[in-house]
Amino acid sequence: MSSWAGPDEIFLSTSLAGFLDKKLIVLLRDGRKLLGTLCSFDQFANVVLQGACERVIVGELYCDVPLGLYVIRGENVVLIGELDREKDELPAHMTCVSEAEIRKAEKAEREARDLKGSMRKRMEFLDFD
Amino acid sequence: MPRFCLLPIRLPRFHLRRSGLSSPLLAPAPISISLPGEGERRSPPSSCCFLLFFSYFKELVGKEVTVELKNDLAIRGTLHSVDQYLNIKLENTRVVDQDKYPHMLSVRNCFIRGSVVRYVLLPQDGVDIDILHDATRREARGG
Repeated sequence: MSSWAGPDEIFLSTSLAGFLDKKLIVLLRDGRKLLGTLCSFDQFANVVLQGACERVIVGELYCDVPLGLYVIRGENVVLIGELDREKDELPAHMTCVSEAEIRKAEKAEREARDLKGSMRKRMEFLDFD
Repeated sequence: MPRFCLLPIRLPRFHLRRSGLSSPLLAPAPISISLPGEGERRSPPSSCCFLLFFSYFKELVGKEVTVELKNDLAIRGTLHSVDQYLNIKLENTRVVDQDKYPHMLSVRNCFIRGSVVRYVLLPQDGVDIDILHDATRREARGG
């Protein structure tokens, strides 16, 4: 029997064949979000994305950083979602900014988080309970 | 004997629609499985309990479930299909905490890798305890 499913079977099965040539969002285990068109896949959910870009979201800002052709090892894949063309990809209040700006926002957010962490550490030192 | 011949339940290749509670769980156990083109590279997990849950999830196809992932993302949707690795395909999905995950706004159909699932929250009538209980005993006895 051939491993290539017929047209009916594609839509009934759990295989990714129904997602071929569609625009997808792939969530990775480290929290990254990659967008691209599915070229190929296998049973491990290894996937090949054509025209991939990473969607970096910081608060209300976002940026699609272009990456090119990406081969993603299956173990890193969390979820593969089909993007509905009719719907907005992101809420209307979010603004698209340049890569430089998003990197700056990322850095600011990281620093704020680190500061909060170090403040908490000092507070713990004072807390004798 | 090839390794994948030892599995106790035949996997109907695209038997995915709900077909009455008696079918896969209570089937007398024929012993062959032929997954097209898979060979030895990733032979399906051979634990009988695993296949019990595969059969069980197949019975749930078409029902509304919530899948919680190991990264705390919880997605609600109609179970479209499931495979032997417990990879899950959902339709008409919506994320439970939409504000926290704006990038999921336009996702309606999705594929979830089985290895990242923490919980599957079932519908109230999703589990027939007696049948599951019987099937578990049967599996524990070795078919």
